[in-house]
Amino acid sequence: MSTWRAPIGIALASVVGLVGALLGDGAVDALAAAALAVPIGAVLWAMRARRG
Amino acid sequence: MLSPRTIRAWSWVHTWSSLVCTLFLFMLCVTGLPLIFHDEIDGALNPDTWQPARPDGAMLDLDVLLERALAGRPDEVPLYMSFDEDRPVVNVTSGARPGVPESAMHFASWDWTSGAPVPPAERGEAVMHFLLQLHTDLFLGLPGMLFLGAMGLLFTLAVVSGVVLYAPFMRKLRFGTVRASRSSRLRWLDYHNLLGIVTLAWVLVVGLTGVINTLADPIIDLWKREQLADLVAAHAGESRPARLSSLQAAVDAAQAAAPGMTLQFVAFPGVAFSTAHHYAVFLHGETPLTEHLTTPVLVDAADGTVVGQRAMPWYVKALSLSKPLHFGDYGGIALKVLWSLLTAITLVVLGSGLYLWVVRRAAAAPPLAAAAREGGVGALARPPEHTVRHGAR
Repeated sequence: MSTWRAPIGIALASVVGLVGALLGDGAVDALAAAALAVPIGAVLWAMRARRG
Repeated sequence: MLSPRTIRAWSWVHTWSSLVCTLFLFMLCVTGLPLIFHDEIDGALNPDTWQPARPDGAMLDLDVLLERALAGRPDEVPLYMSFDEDRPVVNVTSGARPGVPESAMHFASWDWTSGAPVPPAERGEAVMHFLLQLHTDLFLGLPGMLFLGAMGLLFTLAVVSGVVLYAPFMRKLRFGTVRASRSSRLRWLDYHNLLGIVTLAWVLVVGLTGVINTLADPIIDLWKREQLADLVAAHAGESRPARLSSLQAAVDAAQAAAPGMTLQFVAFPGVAFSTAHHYAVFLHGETPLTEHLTTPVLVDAADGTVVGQRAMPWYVKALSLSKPLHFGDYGGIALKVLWSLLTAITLVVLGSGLYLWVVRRAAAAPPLAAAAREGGVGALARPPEHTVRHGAR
């Protein structure tokens, strides 16, 4: 299960971002963009913290 | 836990579904990147200095404007009329007859306040049009669209099979591990797994909405057959009315029938979005969601009476929502930047997958055990019959 914890969390954030940007406006748009940035943040984090 | 035999089967699916579509996915990603910023590129290349003749004046009657638009094209009939959202500009598409291909249509923009022509934003237009056509149908029309749709389905299969293979390869590794100090192949395998799994949801949404977009023509045909069948049947065999009723009156009647909605475009009788006997006046909602969803109000083009609204069925709504979700142009510049970064990551996933396949082939397909041991997949270490090629994605 631990193999999937992070991927599922990132996938959920992506979906929230995609749908939020479609349904919302203003602040919701900003939150949606933040959610959709989670995958990119995960890559940057992994390249700093898990690169060895 | 997957058996080695099952993993081998999924690996075969992953490798070949990826390899077949990789070249086309490269093309789609590379052409898609500038298309994400279509509006910004157009704006930068064609600074909008145009102003309406009478900024605070009343809008011209649409019949008058249509007459002016067609004055220089006496052998053509109007096909579509659309309306800019941010300026009083009316766009008129005309052609020799309804049903002419898009390449034979003429498109021009007009000042809604004066009827004067609006200079076209031409700089860079040919390049963007080329990219859009290549991205949409490879210049092959419907067969090209359907072919790219099939590539999109293969890509979806590649993504799903990649997810299935992710667990056995990552079971003994922490999320995000990149073994940069090991072999080049292992390093790129780790990047491939990391970048592939973090973009999973976005890639699936963009891929599947792309597949839906390739079905646009069949979907519109189905809508006409299912939803407009009674109207089409009532006027079967009739051609377009020789004299069309007032366009302005048709638009006014449609807006009165659908209060609170915004005029988007009018399809004239005989074109793909209407019947031979009706204007189809398309209106959209005003919330962030409903602005992507259109409702046609059909108006008899002979006598101007409103025939009724035809709510779009679920498959047309899915098509309408697929366009913004595919192109990422519905949430401002921040969303576009994220879309382009995720597209760039997808290019790296494609490239690394291809690299892994080439390296594997060059090494004459060493047994899975080596990869599994390096990757920490102890359960798979039963050489040589359980060879897995974790290939392209």
